Amino acid sequence: MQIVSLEFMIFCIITVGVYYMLPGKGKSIWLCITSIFFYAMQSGIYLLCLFAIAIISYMAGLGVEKNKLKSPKTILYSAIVFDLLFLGYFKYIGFLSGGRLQSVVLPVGISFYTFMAMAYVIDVHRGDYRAEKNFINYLLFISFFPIILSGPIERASHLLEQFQLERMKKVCFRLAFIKHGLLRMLWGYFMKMVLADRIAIVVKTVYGTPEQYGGGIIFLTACLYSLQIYFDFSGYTNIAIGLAETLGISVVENFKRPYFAVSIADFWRRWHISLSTWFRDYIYIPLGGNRKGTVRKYCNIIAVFLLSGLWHGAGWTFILWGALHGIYQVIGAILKPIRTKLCKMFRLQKSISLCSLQVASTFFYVTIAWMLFQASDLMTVIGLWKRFLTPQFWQLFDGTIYNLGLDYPSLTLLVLGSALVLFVDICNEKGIYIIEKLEKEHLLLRWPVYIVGILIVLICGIWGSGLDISSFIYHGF
Amino acid sequence: MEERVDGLTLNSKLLICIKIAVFWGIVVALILYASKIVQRKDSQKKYDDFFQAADQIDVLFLGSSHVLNSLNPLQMYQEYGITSYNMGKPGGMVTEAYWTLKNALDYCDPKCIVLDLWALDRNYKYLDVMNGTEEEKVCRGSVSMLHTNMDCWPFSKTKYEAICDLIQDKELRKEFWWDFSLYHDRWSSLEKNDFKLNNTLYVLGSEERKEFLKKPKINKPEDEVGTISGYSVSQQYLDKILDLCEAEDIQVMLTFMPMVESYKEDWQAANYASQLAIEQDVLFYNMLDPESNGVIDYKTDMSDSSHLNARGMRKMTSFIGRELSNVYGLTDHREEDAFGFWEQKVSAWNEKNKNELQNCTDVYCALGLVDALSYNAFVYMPYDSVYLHDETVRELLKQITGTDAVEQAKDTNGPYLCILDTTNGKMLEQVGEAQEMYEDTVFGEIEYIGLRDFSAIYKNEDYDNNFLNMEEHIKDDMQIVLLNSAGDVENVLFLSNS
Repeated sequence: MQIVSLEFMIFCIITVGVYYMLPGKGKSIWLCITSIFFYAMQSGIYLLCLFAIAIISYMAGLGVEKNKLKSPKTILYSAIVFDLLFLGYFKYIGFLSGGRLQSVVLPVGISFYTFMAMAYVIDVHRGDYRAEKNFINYLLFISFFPIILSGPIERASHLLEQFQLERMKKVCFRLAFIKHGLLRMLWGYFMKMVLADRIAIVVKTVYGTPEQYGGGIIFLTACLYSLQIYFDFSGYTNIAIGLAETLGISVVENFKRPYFAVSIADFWRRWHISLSTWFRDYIYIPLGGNRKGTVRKYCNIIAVFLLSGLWHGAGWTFILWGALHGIYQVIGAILKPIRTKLCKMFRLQKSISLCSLQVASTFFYVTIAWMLFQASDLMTVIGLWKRFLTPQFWQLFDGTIYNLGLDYPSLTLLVLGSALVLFVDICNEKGIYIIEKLEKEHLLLRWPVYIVGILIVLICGIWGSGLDISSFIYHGF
Repeated sequence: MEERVDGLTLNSKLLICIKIAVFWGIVVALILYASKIVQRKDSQKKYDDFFQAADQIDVLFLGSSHVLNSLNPLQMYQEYGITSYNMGKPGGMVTEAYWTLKNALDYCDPKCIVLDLWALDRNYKYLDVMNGTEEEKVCRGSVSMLHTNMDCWPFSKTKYEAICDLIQDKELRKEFWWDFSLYHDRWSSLEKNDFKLNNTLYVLGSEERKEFLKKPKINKPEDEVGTISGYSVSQQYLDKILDLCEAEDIQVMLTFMPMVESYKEDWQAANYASQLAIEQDVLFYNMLDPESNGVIDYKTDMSDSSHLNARGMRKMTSFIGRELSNVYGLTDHREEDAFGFWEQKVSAWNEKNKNELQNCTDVYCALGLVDALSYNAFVYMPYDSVYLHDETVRELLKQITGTDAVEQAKDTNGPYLCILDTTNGKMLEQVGEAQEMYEDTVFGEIEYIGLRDFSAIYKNEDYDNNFLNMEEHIKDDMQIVLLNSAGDVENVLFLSNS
């Protein structure tokens, strides 16, 4: 069951409809059943992996709390080792064996729910969260269907807390929430189906035969891939958050206009926030963070980003992608005093031109790194980078861009759609929330916008059997 | 006093429900409208007329593009008063023909079907899988063509069964249940015709091809090929069609339409059909060998190696129509008031052909239409005309005139004149340099002067007006003067090979 499918729509309508007809306790049981059903539809037999992770971490949570004074660390480490072995077996066996062992099928969302399970056990051990007694609630926390495929990586203190009986009893049908949730979903579908999947066609065309294109087109495609991955992942997150909202459940934000970042460190405060904070709280700070000297801090940053790369995929390109981000940050930190001096010298502090330069340069660095992210192997990326030596800029103006898989109307739609996202992101950055503004408008203005939005997604979106449907990029992690 | 529930009055709740219903009603209505606009129109164009006249149809033509380009229901009505519809489609096999017939039977009650047996040896059912060895794009093309014969039918039990039977991939079937999932992507290539159905391509489901295959290279197996070995999926579906027709009391005519290049498998299928026709007591017309039936002339009647052109279609329609009329005794509806739809369509079709002739720039089409529409005309080729050395032109003229005079014109290198007085049933030809007077034509007294560097046709001694243009068109390779039944000039076609 694809998120972009009629079946999923029907599934959501039934789930939400029945949900509001049930009493508090029934609500979490129903959500648990539907979440398990949804995961089973995605992964079939690998549902057992989800159960295994849920049972072990649930028991570990109880064990840690019960044995607080005796040997909680043994249980904690055992649970973490189990989770890591599980993840390692499914995700890294092929890579770790140097290709001698064939990788098994990767259960969908395994990287997300194992991280949620580990965080839960650590939180219980730290005393930040009490162990959950109700297994249904815990299973729902691990398997909650809006977020199981690609996050956000939730924390027990936020999501599990909402599944408690007292909280569930208070959940009632509120049209405003549902409307807001649906609009958020619509926005997510727009980003995914109209923009991300449209860019995917260009990326596939160019990267499929890069030797036909000069560096100019390759760089344009790299920039487009940066947009694609943002529209794709952020689109999914909007759908997930919106869907949870229709159920009266709040899910953490995962993006804050990442391409407005003025540095790589800033980028990671805005991109995949739930993963960044997970690494911060459970790896970076326990390693000493920035409390044990500059060199140690840099080592910690590099270590965290190497792990982040490895989390995204079992391959050298992912590890190098993570390492590159780590190196960016270390170099950024080392050069910070010089940059500050230069800015003072040229009186550039807080100027728009400086800010624009910082945003552009950060986008450039991130884009170069994304090239590693999308490539199947290192030689492919080096091949693409080599193309920069022969830019052939005229290809950008001689009509070549109309032969990259998108016709003129489609390209126009892509440009206008991207401009719309940029506009909405600028408004959000300034604290103006378009959806909320729109909801306050008169029906005669509101409805046409909603209806046009739905029609654009359905008519101009990339979906259907006759076309190449690309699944969400982050579903692969 | 209003009752309050959960903080909202019942009236407020009702208002919210109405608002939600209205909103989604508008959305659904717009989606339905959009799905009509973006839909590929082939199927609608092909079957638009079918739904208008389904209850009056006596004959259905089923099969592949060979049928599509071979039988014209309007001509059949014009000549024999038989009401028919052409359901042939490119790549259509017997399996598809079975389901097309089943779908059609939900709407009409035909007395007879004409089924072409091209690809009877094909041993697969699922169009998205085919033999399992074809490239994905070939399978995709096959599925795409199925849409031509499926999109027009509203969702029904028959359509459901048809798709399940012809498409293996369950995901792929969805594009037939709701074709918006396939066609919504057409938004960027919409044309004016997408907003208003403009049915100019199809003639009651059939398609007239304008092209002429020049110098056909005939290929057929030299040795005895026998019949199909085994019992292919297509053969099974042929039996199902025969059973269905028997159950529905529908007569069957089997055909194998002409092909310049035919292979062992085609002849095996034809041989199998011959045997089956005898066993089942149905008629089978094997047109693969034109020499044996004398209907089609490969030199003038093919658009490519396996499809008839409009001229071949006319001949084939006349032949099949005559057989349907004589052998199957189908009713002639031409005098019945209730069949005004067919009269209208025939008039419109003739009008379209006349317009086409008036604007024709292709010599083959022009000669074909002059013949088909039985026009009064002067066909003139000057000295040294390229067309005198064009075999297809000469063949066409030989068929029109019924003489070999144009061959002599080739030897003398022109000039050549043919006077077609169809009103009086006269045909006059002049070859080489000459001066002749023709009396008693529908045009009056005609004087022809044919010289190497000048020619003229004068009427009733009016020497100021030459029917031929000997000024700016003196170098054209052919001039066709089109005249109405009273002998007045309607138009002159100036045709040149350059």
